[in-house]
Amino acid sequence: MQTLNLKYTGRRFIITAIFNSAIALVLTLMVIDKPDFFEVFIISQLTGLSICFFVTIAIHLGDQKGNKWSATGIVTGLVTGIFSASLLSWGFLFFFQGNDFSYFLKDVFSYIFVFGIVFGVPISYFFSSRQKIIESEKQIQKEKIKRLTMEKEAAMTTLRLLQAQIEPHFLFNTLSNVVSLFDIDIEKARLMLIDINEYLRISLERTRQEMITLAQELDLIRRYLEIFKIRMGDRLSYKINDQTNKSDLSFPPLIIQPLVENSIKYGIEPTVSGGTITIDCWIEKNSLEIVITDTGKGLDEDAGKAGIGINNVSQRLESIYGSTASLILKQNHPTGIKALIRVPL
Amino acid sequence: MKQVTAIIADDEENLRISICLLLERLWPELKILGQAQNGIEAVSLIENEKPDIAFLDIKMPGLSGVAVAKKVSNACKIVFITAYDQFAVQAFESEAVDYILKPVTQKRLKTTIVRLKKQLIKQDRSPEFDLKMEKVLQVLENKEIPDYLRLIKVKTGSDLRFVPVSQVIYFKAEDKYTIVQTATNEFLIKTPIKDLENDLDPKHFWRIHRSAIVNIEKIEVIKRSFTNQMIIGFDQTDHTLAVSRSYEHLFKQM
Repeated sequence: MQTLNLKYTGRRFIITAIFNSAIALVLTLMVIDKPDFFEVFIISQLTGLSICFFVTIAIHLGDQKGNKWSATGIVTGLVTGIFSASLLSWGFLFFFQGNDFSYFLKDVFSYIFVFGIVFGVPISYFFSSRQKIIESEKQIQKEKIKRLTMEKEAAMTTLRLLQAQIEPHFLFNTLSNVVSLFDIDIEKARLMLIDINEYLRISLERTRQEMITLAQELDLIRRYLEIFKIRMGDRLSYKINDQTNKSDLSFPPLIIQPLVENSIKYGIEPTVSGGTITIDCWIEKNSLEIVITDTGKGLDEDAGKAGIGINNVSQRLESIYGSTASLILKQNHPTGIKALIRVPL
Repeated sequence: MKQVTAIIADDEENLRISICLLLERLWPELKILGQAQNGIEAVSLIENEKPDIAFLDIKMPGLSGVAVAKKVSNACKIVFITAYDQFAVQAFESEAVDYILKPVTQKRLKTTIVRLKKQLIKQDRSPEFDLKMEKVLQVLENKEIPDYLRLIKVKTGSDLRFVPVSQVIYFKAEDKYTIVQTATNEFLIKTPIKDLENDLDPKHFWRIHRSAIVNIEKIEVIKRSFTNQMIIGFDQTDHTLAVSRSYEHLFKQM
């Protein structure tokens, strides 16, 4: 609902009063034969202010119905204002100046009508265009804020996606490993740097994409697991079985990776003897099935922390696929976690 | 002067070997008594070998470095090795224990070695020092504060499943059980509503009744019945839930 903006309305009345004074001065000096400035000034103020008052009301009512500064509003306000100004002026002349009743129709009304139209129309037009400029400026401001907010949100999303893939702990630990490998096994260090390089490159490129292919995602996962294999040695083994036989299956980024990360962080790394991660992908009827299994510690003690990543994945699936996708998390036998993802093709 | 001894514990072999090599280079007189690849091995190594210094990775399987330090309580000087970690670094500002950030650099390790040599001569074993040590370990342990409940453990047949809380539409008490309602399933758990209310993130889960908690992100509509009772309808299920009078104020501004 539109409310009357008191600041602009007040300003409008003040500007009107200034116009009125100017009109009174002009009329006294140039037009009227028997100049009585005080009388002309009062009538001029009464006329201008009452037109301003009724036009403001008419426009406010029009605003609430949705038409801003409509011509109908201005005309209605103008006419009502002129009638009311005539009555007020007549009252003023009758009570304070001692004129009699017959004076009303003959002079007051016709004068006010003529001057009301002559001055009222351009002044109303002046205010209406002024208001339009104010409003369009406000609109531009609003659009600008909206655009900036959207740009900021997009940047934040990109950043979040990036942070999820290149978590500081992962990066620092991995780079420390490369540094130590230079003392121990230069060839291994070289291979690891290639994997890190590829992992970072793919991660950076795809944060701007809503969808990639399953093959690309699995490629990223392979790099990720290779890096961990160098770090963890025999404690980690992994298998990726892609039975879809399709290289162009569209799939969103950051669904499999956070689940694999969870498996390592909360499943395999905390286990003294380590474990295996298996990723199986296949097509069943009209859906793509992906199962990520680890033989790690399971989700008992650290369920709280592990859960953040899993909830993010679940929400991401829901926002992309609605209720047609599902994520189920199960205990794996004898140990570990099994994550089952199903998305429509 | 007797020979100074140390052990190294880190679950990542490369890092372990690399620290060994660096120490051999920078402190040739130091004798490394052994290496451990997890927390449990580290404890037995310290107990059996009684080294002067233990270099402990914080994140290790079995037992964390902090837990190892607590367990061997002042049996030797502790130097923690840690990757990027703001909290930990803050805790280390106190001088009770030393720390090295990964990747371990020669320069940083030299500083640590100088500090260790000084301390070993002084043999600082005042109760004050022990107190400081205890405090640091406590801070490091508290870092692992329990978070909000994010996965609900449910039993379905012989399967154990973990339901992400973001999939839950509402929790409702029913006899001795609590119903966990998702878009596709209904699970029963034994945790009472009252306990769930404390464990769930209050930003997303609101108690609306003595016997119900809703996920506010799943709410589609809030309406009034003809008896003026506030009723909640959801996106993904036809079920509705009544809001009891005492919780209606939660929705007043919506």
